[in-house]
Amino acid sequence: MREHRLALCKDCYPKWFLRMTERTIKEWRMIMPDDRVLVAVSGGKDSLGLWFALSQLGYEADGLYLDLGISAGEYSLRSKQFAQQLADRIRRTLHVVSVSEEMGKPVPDLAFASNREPCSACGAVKRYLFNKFALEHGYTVIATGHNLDDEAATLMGNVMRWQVGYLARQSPVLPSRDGLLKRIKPFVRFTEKQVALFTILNRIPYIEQECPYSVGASSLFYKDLLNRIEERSPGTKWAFYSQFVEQIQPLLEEKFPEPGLRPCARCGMPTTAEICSVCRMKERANKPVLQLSDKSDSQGLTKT
Amino acid sequence: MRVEFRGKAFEFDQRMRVKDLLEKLNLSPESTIVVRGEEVLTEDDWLEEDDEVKVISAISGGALLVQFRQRFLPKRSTDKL
Repeated sequence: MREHRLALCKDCYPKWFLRMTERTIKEWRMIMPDDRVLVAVSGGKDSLGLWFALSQLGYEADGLYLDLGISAGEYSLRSKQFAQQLADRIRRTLHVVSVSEEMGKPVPDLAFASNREPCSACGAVKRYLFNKFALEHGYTVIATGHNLDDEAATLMGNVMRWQVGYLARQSPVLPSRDGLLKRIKPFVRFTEKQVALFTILNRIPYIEQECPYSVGASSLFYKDLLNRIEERSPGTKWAFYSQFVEQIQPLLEEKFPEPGLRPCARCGMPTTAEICSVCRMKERANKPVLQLSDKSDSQGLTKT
Repeated sequence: MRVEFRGKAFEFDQRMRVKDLLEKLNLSPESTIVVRGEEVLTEDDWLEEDDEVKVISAISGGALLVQFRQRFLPKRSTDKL
């Protein structure tokens, strides 16, 4: 690990990784003694690694897997199996929520119907359902497996377009407010490679298959650019991100305070608008559509 | 040696270091892990002609990145700043 000027054997690496995770949790006051933690589990290396690490550190965290209904390559089915395998190993509860049952349609259909990019629709639905489920089941903290590559790529994307509103809210910890639960990212110190290594060395099987809808995601491009910089100048990724969250983000947060939240008129979940974006997406996806039919009117259209 | 990467097999007929293999595959060492059996290898480890290794992409969307790089980006340079 050139950025840490450190070389560890396979026995010492997992111990170092756990120490660093614990240090991040303490430094950012991510988990308090009375907290109930819910890990957002996707079946990938980051979320499974995080759930395992929290378990090893003694945190009694449960998992929530969202079945997105992605049938291509049996993506959702296989990723759920990996999540369940780890739940059995660490003897913690894995909750499973089906997006189709909650929203009436799987994620790909929701994205199509609402004319959104799949990753954008998926992200909105995930944030919504994780928060809703956690609130309804008494959890106080939602933990996600976002790593340094994720955060640095997001930062780069937001800087390139000076999305100051998003920049003001990019932090390893987002405190709870107005119906939004506290969100934590205990893996922000680690690169994706470091997380993958931890997961592999602990023999945790995870889904290596790509989400079939991630084609063209701009975050992948930024990750690649950042890795090229990192190859030439080790430590740059961490410096870029850590200096931002320590020095710049607090200033932006003060200058650009978050807009007030109010309950959604449909579902009661917090939103800045009268109706939240997920309810709007759900309505568009489930509303009756005009289709060509033999029994159509003179314009060839009928309501089904 | 036989190299497996994302379900595809590649053959190389000479020994080389891990970092040379990644260079040939146009992969970043920052986002890949090379394993021989259950042994995780470092960039400086040597691969022998009869080795069978697997390259694991640590980056979500790694396969897509490879396609993207091969199509749009120049080959990675080993020049140091």
